Amino acid sequence: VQLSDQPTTTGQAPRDGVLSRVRRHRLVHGLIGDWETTPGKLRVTRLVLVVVILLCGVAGVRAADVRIDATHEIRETIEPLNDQLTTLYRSLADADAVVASGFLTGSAQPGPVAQRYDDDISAAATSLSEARKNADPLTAIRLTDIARQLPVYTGLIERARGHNRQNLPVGVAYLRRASELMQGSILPEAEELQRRQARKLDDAYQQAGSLPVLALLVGAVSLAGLILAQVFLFTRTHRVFNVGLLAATGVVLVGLLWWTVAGLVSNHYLRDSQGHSQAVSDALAPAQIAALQARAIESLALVARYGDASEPDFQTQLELLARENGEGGALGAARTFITDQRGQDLVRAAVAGIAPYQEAHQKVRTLYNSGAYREAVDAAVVGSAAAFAKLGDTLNAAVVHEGNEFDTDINRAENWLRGLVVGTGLLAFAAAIGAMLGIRQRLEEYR
Amino acid sequence: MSIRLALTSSALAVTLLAGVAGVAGDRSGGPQPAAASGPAVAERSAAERPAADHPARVPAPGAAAGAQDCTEGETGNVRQSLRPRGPLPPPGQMTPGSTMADIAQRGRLVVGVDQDTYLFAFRDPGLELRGFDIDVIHDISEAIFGAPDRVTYRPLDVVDRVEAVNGADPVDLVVATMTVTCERRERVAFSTVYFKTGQKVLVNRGSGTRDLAGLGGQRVCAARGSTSLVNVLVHPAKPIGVGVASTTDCLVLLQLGEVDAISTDAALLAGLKAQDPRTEIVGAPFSAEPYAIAINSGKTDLVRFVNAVLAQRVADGRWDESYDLWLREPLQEPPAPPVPEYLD
Repeated sequence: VQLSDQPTTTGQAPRDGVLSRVRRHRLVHGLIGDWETTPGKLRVTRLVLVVVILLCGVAGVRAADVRIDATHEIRETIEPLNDQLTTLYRSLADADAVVASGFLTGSAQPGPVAQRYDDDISAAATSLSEARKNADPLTAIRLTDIARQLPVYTGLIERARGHNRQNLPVGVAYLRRASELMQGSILPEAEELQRRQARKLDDAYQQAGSLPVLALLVGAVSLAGLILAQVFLFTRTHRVFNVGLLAATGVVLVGLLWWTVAGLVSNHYLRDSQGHSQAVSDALAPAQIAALQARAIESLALVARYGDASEPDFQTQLELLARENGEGGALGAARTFITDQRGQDLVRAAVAGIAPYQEAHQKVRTLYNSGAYREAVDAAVVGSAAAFAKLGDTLNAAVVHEGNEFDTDINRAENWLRGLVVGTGLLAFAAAIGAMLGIRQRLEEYR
Repeated sequence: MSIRLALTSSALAVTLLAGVAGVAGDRSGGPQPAAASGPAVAERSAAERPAADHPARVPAPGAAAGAQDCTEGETGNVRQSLRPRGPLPPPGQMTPGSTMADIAQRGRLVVGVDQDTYLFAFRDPGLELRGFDIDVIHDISEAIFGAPDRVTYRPLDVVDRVEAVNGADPVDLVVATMTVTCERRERVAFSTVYFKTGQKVLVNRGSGTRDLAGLGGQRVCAARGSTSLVNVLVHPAKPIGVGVASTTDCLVLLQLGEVDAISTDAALLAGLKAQDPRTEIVGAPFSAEPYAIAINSGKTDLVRFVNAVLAQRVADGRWDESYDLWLREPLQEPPAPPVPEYLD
């Protein structure tokens, strides 16, 4: 034991002029003692270690917090808005398709068709007002624009229905005009909004799943600091183990491990939830819309007696829905996004539902082209309508399922992060105490 | 514009000669030699464009100087068509090799129509087409097949009617309130006239407007590609012409306040007025609009056949019957079947 390393400043009288220097000197002494001596070095080490470990804790808590906030924002704001905009777009497209097919069945619009149109419009209105709550100013302006045009559309449809009920051809002219407004102005705007929101959602996911660089860096520094401190103690004191420092090292390691595991698991769920979200907004919703458009084209072709002129458009929509045996098109995309078995099954069922609809449609076309107009209309109202409804139901079920899966996964992602906030804080605190105790034990050997 | 007009006139001259060749070549009624219809098809796009958007109603300069003077108006010869040859064959027994035999063979008569024109051709609650034009089509189907409903309807926008009988996958007939004009006769053959009307103006009741002259600077609607729109555009009062796909679309624009008036054939206006009692038809007719059926100018046997059907339905009272059913009340005029005029 090297007693000569004990502090030697006591007993010296301070002189004028150097008083302040001496005071400062004493202040530093109080904290770490003489830097030149081993205990001084130990005190410095203790201070640095505690600060770095606590910083590490703060960075960890902060990183977890930022990610929780991002996840939270996805769950509470961005995804709901994305969902509302998707619903808005889909229900508007559906309304337009439904109205056209309503005219198929003659002037008195039958109950279910009128009901579905009403449901679509009220769903659109609801999602409009809900979306405005979550919208940024730019989106809000566009939403207001859609909200302004929607009553114009429904007004035109009301007039079309009124005239049609009286069997006046001007009703169809109103329908055409309404459809022009929907297809030419409202739908493109709704689609653009939905796309923009989908991009925003991607950005938010990126942020929520980003590597917590700072926290990991500080964690690595504190780990390195702890190891260096032990090496230093070993060279100075020739004692191999220091329980406090060893415990602190273990705790920091546990913290880093926890961060890595929880981060990875949370990211995994985050990716899954993003997959479910994209499955809906990038694949299933476009699939629904393509199916609706195909049905609208089929209906209008009969109402307006387009002959085969609109047949390519119909086929194009079905191709957008799925092609290459369900490998391509919107449903093909859905299969790449969806990770769970039930979701995959539903998409497969939807792909399988296209062929019956295609067949029923061919029957309508064959009847029409043979000149059997009445029979073609009947086939469209009964056979192809049933096949289409089945396809639509399957797609709906897939959308609902994916929505539920999204909720489950994003909650899991958030829960894993939530443990980190408290956990990282406590661990850092424990590690700091460990380091402090460990070094105090050595310091006491110098008294 | 003048270069374009000159090009148009020369195109018209070519098609005119082709048309004459087609008429002269009326032998068996089978498909005409390519020489007769070839140039007409080739030149059509050049001739069609100015007709659709240029305001000059064509008594074409080229045509006036040509081999056959076509004239419009009350004393004009534009309404003349080919005389029927003998009585109609019994339904189901068309002359072998004739266009009618081809149609009978096919099993359906393909007809271009406008399906939104109230009283002339519109959908009933069962989506079947009905109206004054549809009755004519039923009678032609009856004459060929012995059944009125062996018809495939092909809805046409007004502007596409000429193309429909000449283009790829042509229709047999266009029966769509189509006015016979010299310009159109360069490119298609017409039947005899089955209905006569004239252009008037429809406005909102109480607007104070009395005629087209009072609509200077105001928006007046008519179908694109119709003679009506041309008449609006050349009117000295300079109304602003607004063209739409179908005359019925004009009523939507009038009701929405996007146009101030609609100007087209009185019979079509009567159909619009019947759909909106808050409108009124004003002024005296300021043009003659004789309606006839458009047929490919190569199919002269079909022209003669249709003319025979038209003459017969006037003779046996079916014209009056149809008029009473659809037009008498809205038009408030007694039935007056047009007297057929023939070229030969």
